[in-house]
Amino acid sequence: MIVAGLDIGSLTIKAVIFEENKIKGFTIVPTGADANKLTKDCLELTLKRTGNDFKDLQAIVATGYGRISVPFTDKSITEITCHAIGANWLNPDTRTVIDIGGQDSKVISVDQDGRVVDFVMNDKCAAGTGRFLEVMANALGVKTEELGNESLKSKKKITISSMCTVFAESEVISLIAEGCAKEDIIRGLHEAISNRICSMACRLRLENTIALTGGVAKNIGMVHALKKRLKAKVYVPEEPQIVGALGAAIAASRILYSE
Amino acid sequence: MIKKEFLDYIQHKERIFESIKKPRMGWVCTYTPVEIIIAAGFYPYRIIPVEDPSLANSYLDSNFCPYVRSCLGEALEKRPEYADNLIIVNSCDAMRRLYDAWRHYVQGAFIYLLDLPRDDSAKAIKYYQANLQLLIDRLEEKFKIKISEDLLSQAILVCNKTRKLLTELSDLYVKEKISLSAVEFLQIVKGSMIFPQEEYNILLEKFLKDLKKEENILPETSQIKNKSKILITGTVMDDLSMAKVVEDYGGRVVFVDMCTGNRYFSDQSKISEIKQTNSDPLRVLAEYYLRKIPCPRMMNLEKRWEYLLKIIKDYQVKGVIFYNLKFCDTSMFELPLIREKLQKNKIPSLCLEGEFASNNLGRVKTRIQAFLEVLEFAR
Ligand SMILES: Nc1ncnc2c1ncn2[C@@H]1O[C@H](COP(=O)(O)OP(=O)(O)OP(=O)(O)O)[C@@H](O)[C@H]1O
Ligand code: SF4
Ligand SMILES: [Mg+2]
Repeated sequence: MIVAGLDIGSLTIKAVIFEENKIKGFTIVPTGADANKLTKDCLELTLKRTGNDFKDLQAIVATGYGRISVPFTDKSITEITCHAIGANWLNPDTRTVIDIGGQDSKVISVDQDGRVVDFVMNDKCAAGTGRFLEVMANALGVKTEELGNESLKSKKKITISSMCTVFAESEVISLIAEGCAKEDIIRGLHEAISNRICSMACRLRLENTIALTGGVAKNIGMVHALKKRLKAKVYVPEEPQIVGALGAAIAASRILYSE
Repeated sequence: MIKKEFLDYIQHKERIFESIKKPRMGWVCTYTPVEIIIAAGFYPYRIIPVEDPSLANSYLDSNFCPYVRSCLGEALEKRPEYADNLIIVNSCDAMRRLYDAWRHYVQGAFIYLLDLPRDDSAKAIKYYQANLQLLIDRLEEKFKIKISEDLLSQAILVCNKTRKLLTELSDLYVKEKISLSAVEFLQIVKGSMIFPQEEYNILLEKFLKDLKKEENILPETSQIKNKSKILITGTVMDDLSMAKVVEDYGGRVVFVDMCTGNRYFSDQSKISEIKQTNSDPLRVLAEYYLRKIPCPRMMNLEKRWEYLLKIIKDYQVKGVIFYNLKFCDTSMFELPLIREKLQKNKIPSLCLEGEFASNNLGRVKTRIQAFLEVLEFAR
């Protein structure tokens, strides 16, 4: 039984092909104006990698921002439910999921079966999400992927007070002008985001294990900052960015089972 | 009257305003005794603005209640004919500041601040009754009129009728005996606040009579059983599209505990009871308004909880959505406490924070859909 999960996020599109309870392949591509076509391309690329054909797919579930507009899927499920299912499959001890994506951050309480019990989601603005980090990386002249390792070099604590993307950017620029080290500023940014996420997370009952998902969990500096702040058992999947798409694929296989 | 025609008619506020020649009296909070406005010979209409709150941002800070800012924005845009007379209830700080800003920047002939106590003790009722008398004195003096007990009693009957008709509609709606969406239901409730009451009663009665005709009654379906029943609670709901989202994703809104929803009319039985045992109409009004389903502003947590729990049981509610306008202290205050009680009763809940007339629907959609997924799993 071959199924696919698609996560059409605000910044990236993810496709996962799932067969007999195993991840067979996945692809991550940036989102663009024509999300439908990009999603189709992303899926086809993945199928090519796994040596399959579109016709082999027995069910497709879509999630993420663009979940409703993709025409060739069987069902759309929110990313909240999908991240919960995906994290539970990867690590059944997961009781909390923190998904930090491009413009949303979400904290989800899950039970032992991977069912969502409660959740909170950031409001409106992108401060404290992946997009925010990208803007800051740009201001610092550092690649987003390098933020993590850079921040680990930090020796001095700097506190960034503005959490609004626009204000934080000018704060960062003036810190550079004052001669602060890049790595210290980056660490300061990570800590500021982690504080923001944690104060949102505290509205739920945080239970161990906490899984970190979404693209931002690939940033080792963010993971460190969150670990320090959460003081809990933290689990980071090997490929945190595809957890939503994985959850969608598992949901797709469940549709087949229930039929 | 057909549904479409009726809904179409009641949604054109401007048309209604133009057709009514009586002097107008605006009101903003459902603790305003509309009966007194009617008895004084005015056409009472609730200010439910469509204007963007940002118009008022030069006068009230943007961390203020967006409903209040929208009211001011609309008045500034449409003054002076729009809001010559207005009664504001001293229900929260934002309302008091609305009173200040209105007097200063919008102005008008009669801008009145009515004080409202916070509980329903005998002393509070007496105090509120005295306040209502003061309002009457001011109206009589200002407009050279006489508001007799007779006129008041008649006005009470008119408003009772509206409340009764809305209750009837809500019963038919909840039991899904008629084809009416949550949004349509809320539009009709809203209509009753912006239309002249007598005229609306006639329209609504006719509409209901038509709805109840045999051919319009829906056959019993098992469909309802599969829908998660939702209670929405909060203060003022501007953006009805949120109720639509709930229904689009397979939920069923059964009760809207907001002052633009069921809370506005649901306690109708009380006022008739009080009326029978008491002859002083002002006393009847004071008792009714303080004893009806309390708004979060009354800070009566136990009473609020008791009543919410009763609705949850009576209507087999599966999930509760809190919809609060941004920075509303009174509703924020009760939210965590009520949420905790819901958790103990194993009722999932979702908190949404709104701007007035916001169109940030994407995020709201994700949250509501995810919440309905939670409820579906729980079944
Ligand atoms: N290798 C990496 N190192 C550091 N950060 C990364 C890396 N890869 C991705 N990111 C971060 O992940 C973010 C994108 O995450 P993700 O793909 O989960 O978002 P999304 O699902 O499109 O967004 P949303 O869920 O908000 O709609 C980027 O903004 C970037 O900050
Ligand atoms: S929410 Fe309460 S205080 Fe506010 S307007 Fe409505 S009834 Fe009045
Ligand atoms: Mg995502």
